Amino acid sequence: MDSSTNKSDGNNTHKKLMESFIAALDTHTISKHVDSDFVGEAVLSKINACVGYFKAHKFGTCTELCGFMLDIVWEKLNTGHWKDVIISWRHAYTIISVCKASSEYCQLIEEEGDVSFQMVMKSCDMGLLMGAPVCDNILASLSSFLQHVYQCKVQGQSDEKNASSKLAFECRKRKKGEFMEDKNEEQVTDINNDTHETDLKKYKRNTRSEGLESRMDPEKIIQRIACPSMEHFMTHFRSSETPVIITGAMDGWPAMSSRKWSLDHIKAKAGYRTVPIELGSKYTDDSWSQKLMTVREFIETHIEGKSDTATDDVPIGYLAQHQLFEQIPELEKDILTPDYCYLGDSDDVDINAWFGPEGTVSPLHYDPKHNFLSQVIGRKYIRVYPYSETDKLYPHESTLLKNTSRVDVDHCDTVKFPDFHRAKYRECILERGEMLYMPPKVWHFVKSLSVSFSVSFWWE
Amino acid sequence: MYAFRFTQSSFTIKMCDISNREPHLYVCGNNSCGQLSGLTKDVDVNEDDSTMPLGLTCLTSVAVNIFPAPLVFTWSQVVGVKDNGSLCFYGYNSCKMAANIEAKVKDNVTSIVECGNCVLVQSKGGIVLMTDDGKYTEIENPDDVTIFGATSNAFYGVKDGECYKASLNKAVEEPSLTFSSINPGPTPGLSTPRLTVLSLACGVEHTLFLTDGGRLFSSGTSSRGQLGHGCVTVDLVSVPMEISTLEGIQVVAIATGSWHSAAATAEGDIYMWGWNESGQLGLPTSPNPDRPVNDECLYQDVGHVQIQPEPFGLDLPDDYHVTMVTCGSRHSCLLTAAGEVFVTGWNKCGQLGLGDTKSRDCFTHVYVENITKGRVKSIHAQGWNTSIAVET
Repeated sequence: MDSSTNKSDGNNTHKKLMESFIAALDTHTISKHVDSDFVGEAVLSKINACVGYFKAHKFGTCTELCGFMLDIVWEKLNTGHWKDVIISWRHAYTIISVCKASSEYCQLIEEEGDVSFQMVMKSCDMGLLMGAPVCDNILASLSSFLQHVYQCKVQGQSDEKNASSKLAFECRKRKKGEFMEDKNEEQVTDINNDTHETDLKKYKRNTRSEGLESRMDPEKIIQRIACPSMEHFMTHFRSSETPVIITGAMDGWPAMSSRKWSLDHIKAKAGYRTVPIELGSKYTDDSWSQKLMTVREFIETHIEGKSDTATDDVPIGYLAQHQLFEQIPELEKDILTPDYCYLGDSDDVDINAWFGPEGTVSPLHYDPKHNFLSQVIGRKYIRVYPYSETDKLYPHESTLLKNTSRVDVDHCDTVKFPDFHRAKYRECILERGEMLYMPPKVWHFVKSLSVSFSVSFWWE
Repeated sequence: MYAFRFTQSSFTIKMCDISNREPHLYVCGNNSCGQLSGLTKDVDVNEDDSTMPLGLTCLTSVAVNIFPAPLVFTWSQVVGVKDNGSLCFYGYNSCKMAANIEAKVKDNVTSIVECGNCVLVQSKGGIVLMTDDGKYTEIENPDDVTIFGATSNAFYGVKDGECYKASLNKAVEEPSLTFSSINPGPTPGLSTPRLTVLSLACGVEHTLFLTDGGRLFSSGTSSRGQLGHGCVTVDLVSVPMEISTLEGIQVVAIATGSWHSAAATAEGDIYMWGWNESGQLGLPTSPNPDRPVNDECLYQDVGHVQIQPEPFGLDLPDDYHVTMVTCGSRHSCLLTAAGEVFVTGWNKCGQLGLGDTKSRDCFTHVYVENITKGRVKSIHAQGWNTSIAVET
């Protein structure tokens, strides 16, 4: 068979796959998730019309109408408190996103319209970010498939056929770490030894962070322990709610060894995916804001500093508290949830990525769950205060920020906050390969001392 | 032949004689359900027609027998008043809507308010709340308040110069609006005369109140600075608070978009505040704006801004006097004394009337054919549409 027949076969298989995704969105399923009492009949009618255009293979019209309906829903998602947004609107956003991404992908393979792979992934990502899962998280399944196709194209493999046959037609629940087990794992080699990664020995001091470190009192440093047993950890640290740095527990992570994470690796695996970036020095500032951009743009603008507007004041950008591994399962395969997380009452572990340049700050605050903060790239300065010290930490009074201190730990205003210096704390510089355990409600302040990628595991 | 008209700065409902004039009404913007196709051709359009454009990018004239009272735009429909005083619907489910409303609204309509996916129609006979499936609910209005606006969770109205607010509970058998007084003014406890509210405008999360003396108050949530008190917060301001930046300035006209606000003054100035994500305040959204060469715009020499939490007075050429301002969801329009129209903000449906779908972040002059013959009498923007009325 010649290559053009192969290509059209491949295209047909893929179109059929897209059709199978859309087939899950029948009128009944849509009404189940999108309640016309809340959204109105016209919205429901138009969503069904989008599906109808897709089924009639009018991909251009489908994409256009989907885009328009997303704008309608977007305005609803931005009205009032996010937590009060009626779920029907978020379901609608997801359903329309599935339709739009499928339709754009069909346009792409038929080479009609002005569609790029980046646009298709953007449609998926916006749905994942703003919507709420429907049909066994059909959008995540679709995104993973499309991501895999793109990876294959990028790697130069003509393995589209293999990829589609591996993915079953039914939308199945994604199991952590298991999705799309690829027997022929592509070995990614680092093209360059990332020059931004400061490979420090444990006690070597980077001159730029001398300020904080020279103030560190050896008595105050958080203790370290190498790979404690579950029992030891339970007895000595979890039960007594004592913070501790665990070393050696990340050695088995592919992100640290066989598929070592670097800026280039992250760009290769996730460069074109859209993520929310925090801009501005800290979330307590007036100038703080969030912006959506691709991972590649984020790395090039805020970490490598290669932006076109190099002369402009580029505010500090931080990919903070984002469930990147839900969005990009490819990266999730590189990390391992610490066994210690399963000592809790619940099996649900909330994994977040924290990725940014030197100088990102999380102002002094506490969280309700246990946390393992793990360093994959770079190092961070972390200070912890026990909850009993709260009266000296001047928490905000508003409901939204009551878990956040008003004090800027880096530059404490001793006139406004006279008791702050009396509050007892412990501190550390968390190095690559180390994991900091923080019990619930422990106040913590975090500042990156280099380009840093941390993974946090929240559990209870 | 008589009809009614709402004016922007007062609640008086003016009757006017239209029999000898042929005012022209022009519309542009969202046409996703054929609402503008219907309006401009005065025919029922098949809303499933996929050859219909999703938006009309140029101001297009409306069939003459639609009276130019402000059209009420929802995202899927347009409600207007015909020359015989009856209501007309265009867009989604238009036939059903028209048939049902005729049965219920017998006397002259006093108010039409868009609220989420519903349209509230008030007449001397009572209030009817219509949803886009053609169903309606009759609502008791024992307090006899005239409703003038709605946020995403409350209705606002006026009676005898006093302001009222009501929530609607649709879950009950016989829904009614129970109004409670909401009056801007002095701190409770001090004995100072109550202020008379002249005009009010609602966004999705906030309300502006214009009182006599030209003072401006706002209530609601300032999630994007739309209250104009200088901060961004999700905390609710339930009692209308005066906008201190505008103290001493006589405001004569107000307008609200979904998340932004505008005020025109007796001096002919214009103040904008709130969300600027699409340039709806007429302020730059990025450090290097890419503006079309042919645009004639009211450029503002300031840094780019996403949120403006305090009224910002636009820098206008000396001979420009703003007489009217109106806001759609994420766009704004100005009318000057010279009869020129300027638009800014989100333009994906062509709601700016500039012939394209590129958003603008600075007030841009709109040219409309035939406008040179007539003069623009009024402008009205709502949701994702804009309409202008021209006298010939």
